[in-house]
Amino acid sequence: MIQIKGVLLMFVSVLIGAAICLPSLHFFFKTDPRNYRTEGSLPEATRALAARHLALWRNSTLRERELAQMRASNAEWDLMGRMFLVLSLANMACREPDRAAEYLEVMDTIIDDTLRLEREEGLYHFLMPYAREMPFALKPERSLFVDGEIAIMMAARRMVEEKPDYKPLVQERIDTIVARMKESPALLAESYPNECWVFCNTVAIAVIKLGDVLDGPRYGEFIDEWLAVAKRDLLDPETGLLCASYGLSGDALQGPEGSSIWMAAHCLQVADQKFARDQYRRARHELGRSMFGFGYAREWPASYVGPADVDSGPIVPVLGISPGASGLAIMGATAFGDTDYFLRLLTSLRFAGFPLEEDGQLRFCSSNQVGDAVLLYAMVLGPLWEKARALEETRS
Amino acid sequence: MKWSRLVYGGRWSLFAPSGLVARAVFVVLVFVILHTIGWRAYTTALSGTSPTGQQIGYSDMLKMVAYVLSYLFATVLAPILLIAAAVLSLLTRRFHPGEPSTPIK
Repeated sequence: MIQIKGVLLMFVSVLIGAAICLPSLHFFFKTDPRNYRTEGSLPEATRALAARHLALWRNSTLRERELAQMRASNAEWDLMGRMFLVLSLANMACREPDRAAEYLEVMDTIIDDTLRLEREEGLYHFLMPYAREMPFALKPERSLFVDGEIAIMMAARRMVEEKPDYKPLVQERIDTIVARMKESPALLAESYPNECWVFCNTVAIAVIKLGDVLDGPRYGEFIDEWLAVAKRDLLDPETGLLCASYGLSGDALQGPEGSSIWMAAHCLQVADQKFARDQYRRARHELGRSMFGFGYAREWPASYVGPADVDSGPIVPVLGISPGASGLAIMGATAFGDTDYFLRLLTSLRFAGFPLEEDGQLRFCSSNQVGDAVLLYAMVLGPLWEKARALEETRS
Repeated sequence: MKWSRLVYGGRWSLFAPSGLVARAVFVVLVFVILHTIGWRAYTTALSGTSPTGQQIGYSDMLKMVAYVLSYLFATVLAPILLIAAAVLSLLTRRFHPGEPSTPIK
């Protein structure tokens, strides 16, 4: 017969074990942030993370397998992975000028391959299948997701070193983007039919700004107007954050979303630092959390009930932890110099990201190519935006 | 051996320090085996990505779940069990002098 006292003793012992172990667990996964991110050249772990991406773009068999794995779930990730990698390489080229030629070569390979795919496969190659279910409202049919990300890849490349072939392509695409955004009263363009995602619209604002820096000011007034409309009409009344998506008229389709807002705030840094920092501060308050030394991000603020989707990943019940939002939060933390949150998120990444290093290449197994590209970008971002600001100040 | 003895009585009882240590060692061993055979790669299914390039299959999900659970047991549960074993050993000596390893009969 079970003795109650024995059960109680075991129960108390396990409770004491948990009380000691859970708050101490993070010490085993904590690391010096300088192992991943420094002001100058790349630390060893980040170089290993970059090495895997560079290897993918030098070995077509590996690349095709990796991209097929992602495209089986979400074709968008193919383009997003390319964009984050090109932005990473641009920053890496600024950090390590002696290796810039190597990085530029890979950037050109990615951009040329992306342009080829867009030309041969069409608009829908990088979109999820539901894009075909209804027509785009703005004609001719285009997606700001595709236009913005391709344009920012070419602009980033030109920011590192001018490439004359890309100059007219960037200018034309920016002209198209601005013309389409102006057709909407809220100055938003569609990523999917009647879906204007804030992620894509803020990437567009960033590339329009880069275009002005590269080729002279053409759209300064438009950017100011967009920012004014965003601050006046697009903020969620509960949180003051930009929402994840809007209809063409500017009506919010969803609330503020972790897997969008960190990137949106980062993109706004190049256009309006004060507004960007305000968005980051609010996102940190509404979505940034930590527990037992582990940092994470919620997909939705407490005031909004939203679904888990392909971008958020599976959301942990009760806590609302989203792997997608948490990965992008690392980018937000490094972009805004939030060292404490960065350290906590990094601890979580080392615990739940299942890092695996083989042959000098690092990857996070629970992630994928786009996730790892976001992480790489988080570790190296900074110099490109600084260069844009410096060039703009020089001009003005 | 009766299964009930694994829970309620004997050297490997759930309520004996040695039983807790044995369970901690067991979960760590399971994790080491799954890690060695490369099931860590299946955790990519957590991001909604197929480890094979095909649609994520039932066996991929099963391997992912098995690996993640074994990892959580090895990193979170096993240390708790080891500390609990030490605490239980001390408490048993205090409340059951002379019966340090089999407090429950």
